[in-house]
Amino acid sequence: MTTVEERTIRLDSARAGTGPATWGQRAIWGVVTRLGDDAPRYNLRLDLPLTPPRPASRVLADLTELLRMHDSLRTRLLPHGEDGLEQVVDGTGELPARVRTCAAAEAPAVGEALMEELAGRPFDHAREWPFRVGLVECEGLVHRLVLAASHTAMDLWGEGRMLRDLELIEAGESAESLLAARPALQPLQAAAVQSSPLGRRRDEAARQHWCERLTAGPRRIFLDPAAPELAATDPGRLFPNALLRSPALAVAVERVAAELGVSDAAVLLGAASHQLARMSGSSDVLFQVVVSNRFQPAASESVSTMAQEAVFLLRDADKDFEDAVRRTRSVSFTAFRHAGYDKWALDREVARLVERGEAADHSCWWNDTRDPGIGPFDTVERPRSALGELTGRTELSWPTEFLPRANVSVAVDVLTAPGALELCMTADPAVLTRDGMERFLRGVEGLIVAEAVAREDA
Amino acid sequence: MDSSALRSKILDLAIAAGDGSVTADELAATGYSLRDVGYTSLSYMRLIDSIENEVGVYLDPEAAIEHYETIDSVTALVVAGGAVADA
Repeated sequence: MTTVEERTIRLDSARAGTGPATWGQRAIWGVVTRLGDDAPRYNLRLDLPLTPPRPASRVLADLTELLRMHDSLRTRLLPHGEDGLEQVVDGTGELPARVRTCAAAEAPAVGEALMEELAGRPFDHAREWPFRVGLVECEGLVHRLVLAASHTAMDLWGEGRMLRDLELIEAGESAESLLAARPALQPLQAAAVQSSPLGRRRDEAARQHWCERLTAGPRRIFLDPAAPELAATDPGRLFPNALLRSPALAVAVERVAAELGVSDAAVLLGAASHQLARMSGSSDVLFQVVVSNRFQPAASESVSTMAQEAVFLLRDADKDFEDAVRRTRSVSFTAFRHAGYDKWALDREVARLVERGEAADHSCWWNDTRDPGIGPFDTVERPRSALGELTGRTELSWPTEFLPRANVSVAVDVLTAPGALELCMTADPAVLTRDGMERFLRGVEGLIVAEAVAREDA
Repeated sequence: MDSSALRSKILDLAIAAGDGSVTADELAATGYSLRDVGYTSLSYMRLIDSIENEVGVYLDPEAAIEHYETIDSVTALVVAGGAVADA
């Protein structure tokens, strides 16, 4: 039998303050507010088994320390006039923790249900903190910690930092000691830089760069889409999701990057651009590339939402693979410098370009989610087989389908897996069939592996 | 700041932005070429942020990565951008 209880995390005397919202907070708040009841699909979900199980008092004390450490977990966002959004960091307050008590064998299922309770409803950003806590307790100890967070509190990079900090706190560190060793940028500090003369200049330059590239890019990327009539006849069509898991790609991308003197991220994006250009019929390709915006050490430690999109336009991407990769380095460098901006202002400018028919197709997305500190061969042995043999171990699966997504024709995520790299692709069936998706993913893998083999043989 | 002091400041910032992967000796051995010591894209982004934050000069955002390949070329960019430095 499962019993229900509520306990409270009480916080006082933590950092507090009020200021304008950051660019990242404004961008995500705008999205989730527009989604309304559908906003929970943006919520972050963490269902963490505790090994060994711990007393609830200890778990709640650790979470109190985590709240003390990262302002974003106790920040409310309040609309302010027509175009304003204010962040209010509370230094004092209470956070309820929902507790479910059950037999140990039932803990995973109870944790799953508790997660749905916490993350399955929208956050009221003006009134509540963007963080919810649940505990699954069995025989007097917590077996699972269930956390739900609004995307306004953190992006995926921030989530990784939060988990690491929680583990360090569980191991005995305090918020004070962790921040002294590794200062983490807090959203009020980021907002102060963004509203300074330097920040305003960066914002203007970024939006100008975006609009110039959008104006210069191809009006259509897929010149011969798979089933364009679906856009009108089947607006509720599901978007297939494909996952390519490739040990060969993990080995080959490192080798090609070293040979060409570029980052492995440039190799992957350059290969994707080349393959997209060859398949779509458009020699010039444009991706919206998700950028972490965590270049400085304090930013890389930040639990907040900082990631935004850069516009990446590569001309003549279909001509030559090596040339595409080399130019990706320079083009992405300039694009990444323009990935921090006021999204609301940019959206208005892009809408004007779209209305006038002057905007490029910007429905292709690229998100390299890999943490530079975590490699595919950190926990498993590097394979000794030749690349040709390794390609036989590539797996392609179709894990799910998604509801239609606005302004998305193709979206590709890069992920690190133990012993492999993964390319996870979602595509609009009006643009690309499942066969086309497979051809794209295997094409990217094939280009990089062939280049690595050729350079090995040279 | 005169050009020699500026170059020295940028050298310090470049080493700091390398996050332990680059030393002053290694840079000197390559004629102060950031590219030849394997400076990463992340380090370049850090260096630009540091220059803007600490020297107060907003660098030409359209300058391609090739313009950042030596300490001297970065110094030249900073000098060129000095006209639009924040007060």
